Amino acid sequence: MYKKYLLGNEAIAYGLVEGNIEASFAYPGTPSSEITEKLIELSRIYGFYVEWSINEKVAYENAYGVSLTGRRAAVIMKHVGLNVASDAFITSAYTGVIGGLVIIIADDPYAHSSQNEQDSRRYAVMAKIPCLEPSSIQEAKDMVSFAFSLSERAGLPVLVRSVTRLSHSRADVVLQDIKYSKRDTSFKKTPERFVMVPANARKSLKILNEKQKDIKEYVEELLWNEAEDTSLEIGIITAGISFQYTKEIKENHNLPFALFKVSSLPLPYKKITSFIKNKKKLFIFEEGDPVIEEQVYLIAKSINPSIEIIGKISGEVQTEGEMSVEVIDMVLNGKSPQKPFHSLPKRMPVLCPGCPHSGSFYILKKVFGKDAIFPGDIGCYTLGILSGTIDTCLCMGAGIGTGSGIARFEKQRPVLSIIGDSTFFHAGIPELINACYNSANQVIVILDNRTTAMTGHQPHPGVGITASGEKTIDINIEKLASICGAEKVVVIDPYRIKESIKILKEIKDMKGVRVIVAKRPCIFVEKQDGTKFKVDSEKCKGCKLCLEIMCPAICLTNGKAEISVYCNGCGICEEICPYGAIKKDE
Amino acid sequence: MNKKCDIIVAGVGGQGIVLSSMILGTACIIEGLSVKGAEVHGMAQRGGSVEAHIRIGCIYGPMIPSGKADILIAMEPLEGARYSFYLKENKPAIINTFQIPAMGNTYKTEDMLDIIKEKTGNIIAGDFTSESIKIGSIRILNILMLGITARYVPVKKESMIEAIKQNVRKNLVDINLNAFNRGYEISL
Repeated sequence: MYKKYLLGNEAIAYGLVEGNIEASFAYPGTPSSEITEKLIELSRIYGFYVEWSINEKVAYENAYGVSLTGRRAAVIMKHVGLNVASDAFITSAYTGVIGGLVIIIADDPYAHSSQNEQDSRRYAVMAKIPCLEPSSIQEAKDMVSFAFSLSERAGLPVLVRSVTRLSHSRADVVLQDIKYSKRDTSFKKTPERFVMVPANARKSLKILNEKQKDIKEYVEELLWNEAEDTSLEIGIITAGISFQYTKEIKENHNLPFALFKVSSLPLPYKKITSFIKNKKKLFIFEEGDPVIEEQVYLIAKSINPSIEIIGKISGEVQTEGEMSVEVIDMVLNGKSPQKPFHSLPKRMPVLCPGCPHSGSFYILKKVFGKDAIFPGDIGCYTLGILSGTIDTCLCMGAGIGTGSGIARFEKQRPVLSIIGDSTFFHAGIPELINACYNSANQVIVILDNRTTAMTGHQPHPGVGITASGEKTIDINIEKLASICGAEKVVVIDPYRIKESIKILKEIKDMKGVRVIVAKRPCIFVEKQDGTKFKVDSEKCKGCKLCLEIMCPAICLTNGKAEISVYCNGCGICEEICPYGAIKKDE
Repeated sequence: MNKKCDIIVAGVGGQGIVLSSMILGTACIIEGLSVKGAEVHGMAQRGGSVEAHIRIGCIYGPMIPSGKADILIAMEPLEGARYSFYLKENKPAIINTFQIPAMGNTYKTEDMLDIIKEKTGNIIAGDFTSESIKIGSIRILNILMLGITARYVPVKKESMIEAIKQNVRKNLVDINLNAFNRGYEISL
């Protein structure tokens, strides 16, 4: 046993190894990506398999396949990834699993870096599988290891729910000395169980429903479902990271409240029943939807109908965003938090200095005009919202389909769907084929920066290396787009503004699906040579054209452009300056 | 000595805020103290407003409540002002006065310091970016500022030095230790 200062996600990776994981599958997504990054590192020691899959659905199916061979597998994703994997996920509960199958989902209350705040526990309820929710990083590590044995005992996948504040916080964590072992098992043909034709599906649902009784027994035994000061008349039921906030307030104010920490779904009905029996008043604090609260209402109805329940359903606890010490303190003690009291310049997230996307957006606006419609997608380039070059963003791959729909009726305005390279492999290919097959009249711009940039630069099928750094095939996006049926495919370099504008003018008035591949590595992928640019303030006329790139290294001081030390030397501003005022800083 | 200490590190993405939080956390592990921390990751890689929380001696959640921080370290003056609401009255605020403009918005460093002064009179301010460049690199600003912080935190200077060694690349240990020692001198 030893202690380490670990990120929540790193601790989860250690827990998976303590649980003898044999294969892990994931698509990157904040706040889940560091679990796989750490697993890649640990796989070099223990020799298990780690993969960046191209999307969450195929990741899920791979993990399921490993489980059918009798081995332990994990599949890791952010909350919205489970939407993509849901088709496989729901029915895998019908068939059940052989080797432990653990699904780790990182929810993002407050949508720090996501398109929504959906609560993954609802998926566990829908699939009728057990869900574990850790309240601390130590618990997260211990729970994922335990989740494998729970999965095997129940014969079902087990979902472990993290949230941003667990995945992206750090703590002193006690680690076990790992005694890693692999299994020697193999796939056994059992078609009545694993082939979900209607007759088998009907039988499987019955088996799944029968398993519910067992799961309810298992969660009663969980030590993580625990209570303190139960004789008191006012109680708090809480789960996940909210438990820590509540504990801190309880200790700071010496509050005479009983406290129940829920760590599983289904709820431990017997323990909860005995907890709420003697209560007059009950507070419920949980991240996301009132999932626990709804179930507590049902229990209270029969055993303590006069109890006062204060939570998200009653309206006293906010239903959007995340819990915090301040939010819970406000409900328990009526203390309003000290708010920031000054209006300060905002520092919006921006594309980095030298980002190739900035060049692409500038070029597209110049060629297709501000009236063009830009259905967008998920990636760093969603920040094109600031330059008017992202008009929609729904989910992975949606930009192309949305664009096809818009173009069907917006016949006078150019429609340019914007999608990144990794997103294109994840969900863009069927969308491109659909656009070509159904003769959409649109431009599809694939911003190929040679990496999955926003989530921390993971490789994808276009770059020729795997998660573990081994060489593999690299799939050429231009060729792929041609095979999918695009009328015209052109490649531009977003750093070469004039040349790119010339190329794009030629395809502007063509009809059909035109694909533009804007190829230039992310500044984090290709080392910069240290070149910096500077403004000759004598020559600068203050025309502000260079500000249109929206480079954070360029600002206007006393009416003249100025380039800061954060310049990454892309040279786009030099190329577009009409007065020759921007030059290399030799 | 009270071993509880809540620290906010604020700045702009790319200034090495996560590394400074790692170093403080590692120093706690070296001394056997419990520690929690949180990083608020923005959407973009660089240029966004970033805050890190480090809670020495904490056994609960990672987030420091408003008005409860014992130290504010700001690597940029606007970010110092933005996160000064976390600070307890009259606790030390270590502020780098070198500006990183926000989307072309300009502001006066003096105005930012005035906002911080409403919370505390205990301000250690200076152009630590230029000081870092003098030592050899803009990238060691975070370590130089940790050096300034060293005498305010309940962990030994030696533990912080050991934590730096454990967290930076071998070939960069010397320059980082120079930065740390320079920061420590500034604080005296």
